[in-house]
Amino acid sequence: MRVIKRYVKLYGSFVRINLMREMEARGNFVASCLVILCFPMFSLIFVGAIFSQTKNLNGWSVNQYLVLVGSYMIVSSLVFTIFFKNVFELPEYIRKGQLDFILLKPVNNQFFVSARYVSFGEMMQGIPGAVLIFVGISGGNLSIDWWRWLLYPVFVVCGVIIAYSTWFIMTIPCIWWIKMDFAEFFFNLFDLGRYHPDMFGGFAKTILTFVIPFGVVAATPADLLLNRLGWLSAIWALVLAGGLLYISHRFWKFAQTRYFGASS
Amino acid sequence: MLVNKKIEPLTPWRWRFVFRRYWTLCKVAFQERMEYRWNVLFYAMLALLPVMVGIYLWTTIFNNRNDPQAVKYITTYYLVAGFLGWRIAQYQWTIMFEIREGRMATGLLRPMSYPAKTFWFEVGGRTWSTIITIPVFVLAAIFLGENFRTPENGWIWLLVLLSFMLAYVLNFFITASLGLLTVWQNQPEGFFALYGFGSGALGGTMVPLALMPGGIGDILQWLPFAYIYSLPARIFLGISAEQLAQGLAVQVVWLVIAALFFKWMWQKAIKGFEVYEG
Repeated sequence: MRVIKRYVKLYGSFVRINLMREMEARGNFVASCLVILCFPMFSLIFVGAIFSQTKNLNGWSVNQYLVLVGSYMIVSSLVFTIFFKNVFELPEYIRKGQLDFILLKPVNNQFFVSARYVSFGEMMQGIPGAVLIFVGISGGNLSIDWWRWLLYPVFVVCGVIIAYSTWFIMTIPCIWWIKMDFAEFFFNLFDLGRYHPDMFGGFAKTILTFVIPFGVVAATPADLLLNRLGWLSAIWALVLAGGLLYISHRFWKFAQTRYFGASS
Repeated sequence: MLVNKKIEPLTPWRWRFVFRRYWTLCKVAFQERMEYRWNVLFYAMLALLPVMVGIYLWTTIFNNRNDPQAVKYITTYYLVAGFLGWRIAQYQWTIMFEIREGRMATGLLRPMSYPAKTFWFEVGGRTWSTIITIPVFVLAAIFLGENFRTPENGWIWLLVLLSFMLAYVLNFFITASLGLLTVWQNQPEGFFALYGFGSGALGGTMVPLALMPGGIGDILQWLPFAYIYSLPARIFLGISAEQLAQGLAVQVVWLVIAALFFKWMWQKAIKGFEVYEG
């Protein structure tokens, strides 16, 4: 309990420092928030393009799809707010030898490299995401049980953990191959979260659910709201989140035994 | 003034010297990237995934409508636009790191143009990674079978190459201008990531402009992103001579505008540039 309290306090300090830094350049902060608020435009264009060609995409109506895209944007806003700058900087720590100093700090180093920065501007993505969900629900006249709203954040957190762990696992090989940089590819792969695995036939569905599980990050919370979530899918999302987080931790520990430092 | 170079006349000897200088840079980048051939191959396979998912999605839609011609069009478009779009370099990241870490200061002191050095170094690296990437995309084309259609005329390949080269340079001027914003804003990563994704989406990598709803495609076709990401793919698929001439002309106009804008940004950035490290 004391350990948890210590980490909560530490994270509070990170948040405070980052907020102070963002507020140093308020104009830039407001400008980035405005730019990020434009982000849903791309999603709307995408949804509009699909449903201008068909009324029903393998069992998905436009309103149901809006709920999926809205959920994707909420998961995305959390992933980018909490982890974007942190995981993005990891290859730089390795290249510049800064990881040497991080490993010496009296704190869990995965926590430190994953939580040191907070990108507040990215939080803005969540607002249009929530709006899309409500538009989808009211447009489709969907009635949602109260307990689904209560469980919704649980599966959103699962999506965030799946995305973070996958990105972290993808970034760790930088310890061996210092030129490797997966950020751009993570963005591309994470973008797959706006699709539901059920929209595709066999092969693509399997890949999006099991091999590169970005199809699960937003689909599970959206399915929960839309009353489409089966027990197996719910359990799979929970197992995947826990399993990937554990694998990322073990892989990070293993990679450290192969790290020789780059500062010299 | 940190940079106050006297412009020497470009005599044939000097041309040769300038060419050799950048050719050497290209070769160094080429060799450096060769070291990481397996990484590049892995990158290529990862880059292919979203493209294949897009193809699957649209194939599902058009198969439901029983429209085989549209399936062929969309399959070819996604694969070509995906491949060429992936080959377009995002220079804003390179410039951001160089400014932030003070490496740009040493670059400015070298006897060569900093923007040209940045441009050619990446071109060398990209050339190697393209060589590695081609087999992956060729295999994907073979896998897609008769749904992937190739141009019948050899000239079209050359026009695609020309349009792609113009797109690459146009994108260099835009992303390099964007990267120079780091001089004034030290934390632009979120904005850069958004640009990287947004420019592709507005250029037609996510959805072809022709399929965009409510006349959005008609507006977007006049923005520079369409001439970076979708024009080469449209030429590959076959467009009329009139559309080709218009497309290339608009591409050149955007190239000139972007080059002038970059020149202006560069002059401003050099004045405001401060060395943080190094």
